[in-house]
Amino acid sequence: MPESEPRIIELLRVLYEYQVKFIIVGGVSAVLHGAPIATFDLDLVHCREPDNLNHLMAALSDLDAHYRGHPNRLKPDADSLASTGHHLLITRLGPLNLLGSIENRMDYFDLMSHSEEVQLENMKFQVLSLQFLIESKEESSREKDLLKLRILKHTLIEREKKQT
Amino acid sequence: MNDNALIVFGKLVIKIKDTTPITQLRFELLVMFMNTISTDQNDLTVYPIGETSNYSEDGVDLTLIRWALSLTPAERLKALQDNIISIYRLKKCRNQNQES
Repeated sequence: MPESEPRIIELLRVLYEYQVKFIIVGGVSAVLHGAPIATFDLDLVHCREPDNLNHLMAALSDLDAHYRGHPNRLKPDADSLASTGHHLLITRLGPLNLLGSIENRMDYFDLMSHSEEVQLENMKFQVLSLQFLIESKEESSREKDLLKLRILKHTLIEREKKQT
Repeated sequence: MNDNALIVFGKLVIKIKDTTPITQLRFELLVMFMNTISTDQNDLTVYPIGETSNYSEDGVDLTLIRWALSLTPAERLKALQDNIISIYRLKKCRNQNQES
C-alpha cells in the first residue's frame, strides 16, 4: 500500500461526524496546547462503552482501518477495542492509535477529569491537559518522552506567562 | 554599542554608526522604551519587551513556543498538518531523485 500523508484534521472530523467519544492524547494534544513538536499519528483514548464502540466501529469501517504491519489487513473488532490495550491502526487518512488505557491503566473516564475541551473549526474535542501530559511523561522512562518533556514544560511556563 | 548594532522600531531598522558616549547613552535610553536589543556584535536578535532570551538554559527554542502560543488550537493543528504535507512532498522528491 503506497504511503499516503496523514490527514489528522480530516481524521478527527470523521470521528466527530460518527459521534465517537474520545480524548486526544499524545503528540497532537501537545500541539493543540502550543508545543511545537512534530508528530505523524493521532493518539486517542476511546470510551469503551458498548454504544460508543458501535459508533467507533462505524467510523473505522468508513476509514478502512486495519492493524499496521499486519500482513492480512486485519481489522479491529468491538471485542478487542473493549479491552484496555493499544490498537495501532492505519486508515485511509493516516495512522490512528486507539488506546484503551494509558499510564497506570487510566481509561477514558479516569482521564476526563484531566482533560479540557478544545474548539477546532465547528467541532469540539476533549484533549488531555498539558499539566497531566507533563506529569505522565515525567513518570515515563522512555527516552522519546524525556526528550519532549523539556519542550512541554517550557510550553506550560510560556503559556502561564502569557496569561498573567 | 558598536557600529554594527541595530535598533528595530516597528519595521524601521536604524543602523548606528555614531558610538560617542553621549549618543550611546541616548540610544540606550531610547532602547529601554522600545524593543530590547542585543549589542553583542555576534547576536543581533531582537527580543520582545519583557523577554530575556530566545533559548531556555536547556536549549529549547522559546521563540517557537511563543509563536505556537500566538495561534489558536485550530491554527496549530493546521500548521502541523501543513508540515506533515511538506515533509511527505520532500520525501517524494528525494525518492524521485534517487530513482533518476
